[in-house]
Amino acid sequence: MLKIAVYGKGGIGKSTMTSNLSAAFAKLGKKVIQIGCDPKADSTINLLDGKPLKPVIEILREGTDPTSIEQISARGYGDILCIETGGPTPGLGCAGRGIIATFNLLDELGLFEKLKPDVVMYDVLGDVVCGGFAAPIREGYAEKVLIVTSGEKMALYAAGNICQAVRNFEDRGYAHVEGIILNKRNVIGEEEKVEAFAKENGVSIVSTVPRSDDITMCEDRGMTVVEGAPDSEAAKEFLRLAKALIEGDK
Amino acid sequence: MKGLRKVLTPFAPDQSGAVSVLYNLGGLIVVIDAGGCTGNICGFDEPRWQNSKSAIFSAGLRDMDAILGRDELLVKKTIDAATRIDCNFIALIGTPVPATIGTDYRALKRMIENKTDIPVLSIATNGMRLYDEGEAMAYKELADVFADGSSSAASVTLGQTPLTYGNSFVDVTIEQMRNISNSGEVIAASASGLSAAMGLGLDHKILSTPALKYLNEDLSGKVLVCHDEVFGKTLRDNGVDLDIATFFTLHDEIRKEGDKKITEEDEFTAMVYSGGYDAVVADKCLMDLIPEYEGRFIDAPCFAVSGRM
Repeated sequence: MLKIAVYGKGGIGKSTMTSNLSAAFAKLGKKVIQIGCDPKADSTINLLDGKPLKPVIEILREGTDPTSIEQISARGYGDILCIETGGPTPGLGCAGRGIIATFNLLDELGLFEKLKPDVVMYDVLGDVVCGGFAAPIREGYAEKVLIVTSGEKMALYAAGNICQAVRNFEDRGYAHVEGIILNKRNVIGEEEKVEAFAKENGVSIVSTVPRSDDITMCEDRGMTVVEGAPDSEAAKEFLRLAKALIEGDK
Repeated sequence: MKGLRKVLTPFAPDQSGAVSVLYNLGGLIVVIDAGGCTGNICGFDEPRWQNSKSAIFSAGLRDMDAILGRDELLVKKTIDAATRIDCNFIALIGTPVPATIGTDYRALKRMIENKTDIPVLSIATNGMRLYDEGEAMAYKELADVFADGSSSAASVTLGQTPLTYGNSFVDVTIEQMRNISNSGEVIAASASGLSAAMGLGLDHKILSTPALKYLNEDLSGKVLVCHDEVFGKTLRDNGVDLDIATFFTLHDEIRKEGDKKITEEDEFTAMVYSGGYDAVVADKCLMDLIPEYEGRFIDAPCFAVSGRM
């Protein structure tokens, strides 16, 4: 089972990258689960025809104790099982705890044992700000971390923090950084800046996704570029990366 | 409010169950709490504390530990303590505080094991479940950590702890747990024993030996047993016509028509008043819930419910 957590600065395109990778894995015939770990709960929207999915925390807030996976999930493009953890009302409660509570529930419901997925994708809020946001890379969850960044200074700063957080967890048996996805914003000297960052942090750039209007137009239609514009350069890149990740997992 | 206790006191939680299983096994037991859970375990939920000591420590968490997630400090304190006392293992017991801040028990276990050869058990109790679930988790962890395929025991009893049976407890030993899957016989003596046996995939016999003495009571007519499920099943297997009500786990393997897993006090009251029972077998403290019941009441103490032996 290939289990990947996608991290990166807020607004850098994590959900876009994650959903497109999920779609690419599904297109390659893999059984995929995508778990959005962001209180905004919009990770999977482009796998679900633009329809928002009711997050797990919202279901729990209503006082229901879910007893089946179907109650907390929806099937999207390529039969991808979509789950959103959700979180508290902004400014209240504890979002990290929400992720942990959702993961505990997924364990209780035997998600992996029952569905036996080939690929599990975790799309995680911006930065590893507390224990809850590290939960996706704990033993038993994601084994590989992909960091999404552009060549912008703050995106690279956040990526550096994530690399450091993962290194801090080395003695705990957590996931390792598999590599960087460069989501191009076409800033000056972008590739050189990201290459320098990768070298400095001892990680590799596993994918460079071109800035593409196809992605924007597909998202306006509530779909990934893999689904909506399969012949585009971006879609081809996601498929190439998905194949490489599968190969690397063998 | 679900599970609110209006008459009874709250029942022993899962962390007390976990400690109950480990109490006499010679380990260093670290309850990851601020101090109150450890006080509750030793002062209320562990009847042996008055007469026989066990190395139970509180992690002594403070606000900054929760804010900063100082796992390294906990690892250091634990290893310091383990080097000062002779212990067979280190057990990390979860409580509501680490559950709330998302402490990763498996990571703590790995961090301690990286620095010592002492086996580490990590039990992710959270104080929000009941004791039988914590006991089952402790049995499972013992079996997982100590499994080495060495010679097997003739018989192992799981789930006969003081929390269910007071002085009639039977501890497991580490030796028994090393090859439990090849034991001659595994007896599930309570819900926790049954959960553990099923979770470990063990052939098992369901029997509560301490329940057998109640066959000397007048159990004629229709009876309601509100205790542990295996306690009830054992009396049923010996010819008593009974329904089981339990605040703890009720497995499908035991459940018969008329049996009920109850959560609220009112459910017990309703069951007694509407069931037409000639006798009720339960901890005496439950009598306060059924003041208008006129049949026989046979006291069967359950330490996890009332703190009575």
